[in-house]
Amino acid sequence: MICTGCSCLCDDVEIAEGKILNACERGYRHISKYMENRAKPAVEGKEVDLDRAIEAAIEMLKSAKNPAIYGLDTSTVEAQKTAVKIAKKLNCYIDDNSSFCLGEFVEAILRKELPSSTLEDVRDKAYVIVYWGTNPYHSLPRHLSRYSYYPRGAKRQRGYDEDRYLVVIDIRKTEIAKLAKKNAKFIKVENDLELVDSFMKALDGKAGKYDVAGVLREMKKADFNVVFGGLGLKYGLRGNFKAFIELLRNINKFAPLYFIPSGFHANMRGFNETLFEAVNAVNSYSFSSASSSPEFAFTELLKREKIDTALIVGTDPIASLPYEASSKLPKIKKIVVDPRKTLTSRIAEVVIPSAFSGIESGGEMVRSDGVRIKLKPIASSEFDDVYVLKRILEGL
Amino acid sequence: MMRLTRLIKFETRIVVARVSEEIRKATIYLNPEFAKRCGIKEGDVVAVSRGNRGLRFRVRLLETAPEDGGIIPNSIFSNFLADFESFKSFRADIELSEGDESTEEDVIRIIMQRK
Repeated sequence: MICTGCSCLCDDVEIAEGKILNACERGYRHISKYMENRAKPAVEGKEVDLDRAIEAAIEMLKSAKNPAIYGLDTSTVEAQKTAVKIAKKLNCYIDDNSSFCLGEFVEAILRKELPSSTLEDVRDKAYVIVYWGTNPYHSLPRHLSRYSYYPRGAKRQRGYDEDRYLVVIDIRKTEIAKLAKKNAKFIKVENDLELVDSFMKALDGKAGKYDVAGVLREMKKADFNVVFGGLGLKYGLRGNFKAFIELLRNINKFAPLYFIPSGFHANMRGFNETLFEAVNAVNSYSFSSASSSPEFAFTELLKREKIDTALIVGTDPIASLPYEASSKLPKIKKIVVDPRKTLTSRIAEVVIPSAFSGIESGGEMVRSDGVRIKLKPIASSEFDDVYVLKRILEGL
Repeated sequence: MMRLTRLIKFETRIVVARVSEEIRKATIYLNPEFAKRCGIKEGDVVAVSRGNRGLRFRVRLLETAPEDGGIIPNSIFSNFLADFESFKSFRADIELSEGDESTEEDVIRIIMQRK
């Protein structure tokens, strides 16, 4: 099966004689506990049948003045496409978690502003591997063993202590920073923009705050290097993505360096690509304005009290958003579509249960590097995100 | 006997990060050296406050926590204290506290009171 526990979408997980094989701790928990804490259809806190919950959602969306659709990062591409159709029909906002996660990086890749590659190419070719503001030890537990540092690749046959050069950039000495011993460097960063500046200066042979000349020398030795950037990088750049894009462009004049986002939910990149194909924007889109803007991010719409109803699919905003946004959730009507009971479903006006994509429901997802993966579910469900969203679309 | 450090607030750096364990109650992972300097032990309950918001956390010790503070796993607890400008890292005050750690219900109750 394909594990949908994170954006690695590992394709070698097997179920044999009731045992889950090859999964990491995160994947094991995702698969083994999928039957626990399941959502039940409810309207205003009272359990109803599924049809009644879907009808209530349709009525709520029909009567909404300013609705938004939010989430979808654990849904399949097929469900995401249906949600885009609903947003178009309602002439409303649509957004996912990437607007406060790694959406800017994915957009830069899709617009060809950042050179990117696949995880298989990283495994086979990469010499310098930079993890910047990300700790895959917890977020993507098999990233290093399947795709980057540890495996012997087609052009990297001598093992990690000779054929890879690991760079870890973080504000603390994480688990993967502790690996940075031989053929490696840990850069404890206080200010990511100053680190970007140090790299720029080093390219000109000048000294900056951080000693990074050695990293550039290693990059120049190879024909394939990669940066995996996470949320620490995003927030460290304080919105100054152009400086980072410029840095990669300049390094690429001397040594091939690719960028792949590191982190996020199983199909966040799928959402970005689905919306990009439909409207040329990766998130924070308003069909009413026919444009994308940071003002149309779900968090901003909440903060500025611009919406009255939200269709929330496969995400838990009361838990995952900062207080300035989550504290506004009680003021709007919430329709939650989720396989699990979530903290948001506790305060939702309508709850519609769904299926776990990849476990009970098939379809397509997009890996963090943009590779499309067909899911191979191990169970079945009468209703999944596609079913629920299509019913809502038809009802509208 | 009352611990002297119970009377002192320490400024600390909080990093918001994912941890492998499932966290249902408010937990903070403090750097062992930092905790020692603050007179805080594993299992203590501490109040973490930022501006006019605060929660109580159960302390666990973790060597990979930042040297001048701790990690709060990405959760309703960390996000209650964070804002968008400091989503992954912020400074907060920490002090020893009585009682149990905060629960998800506690946070939801505070959020619902804003309605």
